[in-house]
Amino acid sequence: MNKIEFMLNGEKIEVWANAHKTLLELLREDLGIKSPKCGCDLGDCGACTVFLDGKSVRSCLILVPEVNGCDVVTLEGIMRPNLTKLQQFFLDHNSFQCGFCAPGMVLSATELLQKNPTPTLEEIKEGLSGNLCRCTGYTPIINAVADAVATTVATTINE
Amino acid sequence: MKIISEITYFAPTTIEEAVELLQKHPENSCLLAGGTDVVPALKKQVEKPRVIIDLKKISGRIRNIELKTIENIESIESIERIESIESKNQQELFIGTLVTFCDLLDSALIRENYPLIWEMSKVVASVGIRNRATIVGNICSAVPCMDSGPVLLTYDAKVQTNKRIIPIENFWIGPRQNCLSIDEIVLGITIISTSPKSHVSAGRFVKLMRYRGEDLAQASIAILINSFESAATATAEVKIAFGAVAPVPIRAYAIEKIISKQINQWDEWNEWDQMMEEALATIPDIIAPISDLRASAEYRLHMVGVMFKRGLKDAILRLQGNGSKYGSSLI
Repeated sequence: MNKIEFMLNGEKIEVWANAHKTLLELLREDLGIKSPKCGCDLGDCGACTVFLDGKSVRSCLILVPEVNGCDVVTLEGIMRPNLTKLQQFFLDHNSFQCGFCAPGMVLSATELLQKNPTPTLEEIKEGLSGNLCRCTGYTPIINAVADAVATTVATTINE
Repeated sequence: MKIISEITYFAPTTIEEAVELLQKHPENSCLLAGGTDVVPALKKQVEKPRVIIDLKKISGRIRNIELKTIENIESIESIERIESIESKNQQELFIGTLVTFCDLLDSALIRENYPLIWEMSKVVASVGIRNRATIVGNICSAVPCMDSGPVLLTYDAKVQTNKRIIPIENFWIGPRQNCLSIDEIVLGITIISTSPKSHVSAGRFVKLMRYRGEDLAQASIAILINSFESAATATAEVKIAFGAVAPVPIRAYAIEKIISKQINQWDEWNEWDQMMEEALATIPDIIAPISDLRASAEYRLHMVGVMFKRGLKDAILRLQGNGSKYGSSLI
């Protein structure tokens, strides 16, 4: 067992865990953080996305001891206390049906807009290409992000 | 899929400590950087190490991308030679072991000086993987369809370990096998090239895949053209390498010879068809594609020809200044 200390959504966490446990398993099974989902469990689908030191990563591909001393933020952490503006756009566009991919999609889109506030349609598709959705065919998801970009750009110009 | 085997985890803070750990556990240890290859291998039990040595807590050079100029002072003989001194100026790029594909994409230095590395990094899986996966991990895993292999071959990269410097071409010895000894750790990749002042360079990386975002390459090709201009003549060298169509990424010397000869007497695309015919005929002797769940051998062979034709054309156009933007899709 290894003693691991890290920040989770702004709170200090101290756990004892086996080295062969993944961050996803720790979050869901031991800490009750349910937004990251276990989809493929091999890093392909993006459902388990969390932010590690500010970058989106696959929590299913990270061993718990690797996060010692790091800063982990999940969807629960970015939406405190309410939905983010970007989440509201997803809601307005009815972007999700079953919602399994939603936490990963929201985090990936959030990172994309942090890095590049005015992505083109092509860049939005590229930014979300690591997150699989089996319900919607992606259209309402991409539209929501594109709308968020257009609206933000419009408001910035109006200001 | 849970990892079922127990592991002991170490996070050394220096290379020396990491080497010591490797020596202490020679049979069943595994180095960890990004983990995007190692963790799936642990889950699928492809590898069953007892000891994981995480390199991410090591600080220093292995985290950096560095570009430095090597001055060639010996060649100062007369004032007349000043130009040639300039052309002998070389630069050395160093990409440390912990540099991720996202670090490469974010680096202006890479984008400006080594656009093929940039173009290749852009099609490695997706952002969530690129934030974690390292280029050194990519070559160490030595999966035949690795994205970085062909590009590093065309740049004549070298692998620097704690013991020696290995030309990239000799680094892989078979599918999923590299030539590192048990207590050897890669510190980084170096690329030595003449300074951009003395030549124009352009290239093309093409990756064939079924969809963007997560797919591995069905086939890939890297083409690099360096054109050295002097007062009298312009000479060009062409470097070509293939990925995912042989046990390891390979240089296509036979094609390079044909193209280099032609390109130095370039006559505005007049001999393009003839050159292509000659070059394409050599491809079956160079590559040895297999059929697997991603593509058949026949499809791979056919598509390598198509990718080579379009890729070379675009590389030449880029050299002339009117090719496609780096990072754009070609197939």
